[in-house]
Amino acid sequence: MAGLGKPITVEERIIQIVADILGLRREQVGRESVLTELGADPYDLVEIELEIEEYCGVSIDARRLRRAKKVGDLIQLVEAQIGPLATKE
Amino acid sequence: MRRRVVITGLGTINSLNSDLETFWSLLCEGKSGIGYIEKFDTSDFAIKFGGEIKDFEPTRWVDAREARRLDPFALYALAATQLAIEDAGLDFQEEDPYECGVLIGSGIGGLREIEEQHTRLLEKGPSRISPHMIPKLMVNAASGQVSIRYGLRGPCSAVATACASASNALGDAFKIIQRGDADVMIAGGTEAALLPMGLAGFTALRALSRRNDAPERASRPFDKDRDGFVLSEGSAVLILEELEHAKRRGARIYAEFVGYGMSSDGCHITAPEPEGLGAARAMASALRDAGLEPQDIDYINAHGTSTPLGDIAETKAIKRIFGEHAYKIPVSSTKSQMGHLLGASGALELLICCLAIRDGVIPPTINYETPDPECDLDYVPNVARKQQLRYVMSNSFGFGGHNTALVIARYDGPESRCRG
Repeated sequence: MAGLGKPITVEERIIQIVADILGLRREQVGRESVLTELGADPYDLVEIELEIEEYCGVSIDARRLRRAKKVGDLIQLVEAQIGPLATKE
Repeated sequence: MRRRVVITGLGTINSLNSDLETFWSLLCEGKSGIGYIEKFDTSDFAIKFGGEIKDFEPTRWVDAREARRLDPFALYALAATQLAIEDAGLDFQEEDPYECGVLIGSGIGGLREIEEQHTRLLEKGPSRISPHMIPKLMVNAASGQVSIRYGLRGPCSAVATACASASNALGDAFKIIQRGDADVMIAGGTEAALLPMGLAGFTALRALSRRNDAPERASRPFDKDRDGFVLSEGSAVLILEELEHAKRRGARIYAEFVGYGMSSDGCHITAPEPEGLGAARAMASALRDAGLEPQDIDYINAHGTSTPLGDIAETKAIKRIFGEHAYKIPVSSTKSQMGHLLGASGALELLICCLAIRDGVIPPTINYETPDPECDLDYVPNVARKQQLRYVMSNSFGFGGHNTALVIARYDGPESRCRG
């Protein structure tokens, strides 16, 4: 639940989602990381999209998601909709 | 002359112990791999125990990303395969990939993935289903993933004949090598259905033992007080190899694969044909394939699930084929220690037969306390028996009426077995 302790930012949440789905440590993923260079394939991008919907409470247009090259692009897409704070822990 | 096929590697992930030699020692000591289920809450379940693998760490076998893309049934198969390959001392970098294949059976496939995604479907809707669902749950995922991991390009398939799946996979792999379509086959079975859906389904079939007060004593094949089988999970994989190929690389040979027979009851989808006619035909067919007479068989590892009807039907089938000799053959069911691994059981039991031949030890049927007049063979009760073994049979029967018998032989050297 948000509200218990420090609110989590969209950036933190999306980096965590990407790291979990690609089986990486959190510190291996940053805003500038290129998704395909991290090993993401089209199925991973669908999973990332589903997790973002789950944990940030937003849905991202699939065409815009497919254009995302970097982790930072994903963060921007979500922040544009809900601001810098993620809605769910 | 038919090509000869030998078994050169063994690997298993199971509830007793996944280190091969430790597993074998515990099995022969009569230890049970059955206990209370810990992976999910069984409060609402009539049955609260099974043969559960407690200490399996997916990332010991695959990386974290891969682990997310694999159902436990495929993970178990990948782990058992790695153990079998290491045991065989095989290096696929040195092998022709077009001569190496995979045949791993499973009765059910990725049931956990079905459970998880179905929950998601109901709670969150169809747009939230994972893109990995289909490739995770399909029954052939285990074979496909093994072939991908080792870059194998030869025959690759999967068998789904319920509790006979692994035996059919092994038998089919034996034939693939025998007829010259591959030199090496990774073959066996895998199952991970000890889950809420699997437990509820088999409970509904009234197939399981209800001995909640004594899980370790619940699986009691051929005992008069048996009341059903015990649901277990795991995998066993064997490396099958053409004899000359094995000799060229100096492989250690556990046994020679000599006979495969199958039949169907054509009778009922879950109940065994009561006189064991189908099971008997499978055994006769395996003996014929091996060029053996019934009296040649030194030990039968029975299907023996501990169900009231199944154990009687198998006993009748054995007597039908072996006649008076049936009373002289030790027949044990290692499901008494392991429970029923469904589509993996036949592979675990053939693995056990390999070790029985190697060491001249017959593992016991544990929990055998009260003889049943309708099950009157020598079931090697409770204590392992030292006995040199030349030819050994392993039976597996599955829902759907599938009957499978395999025969393996001690390998004594190149001239030990001349067959036309």
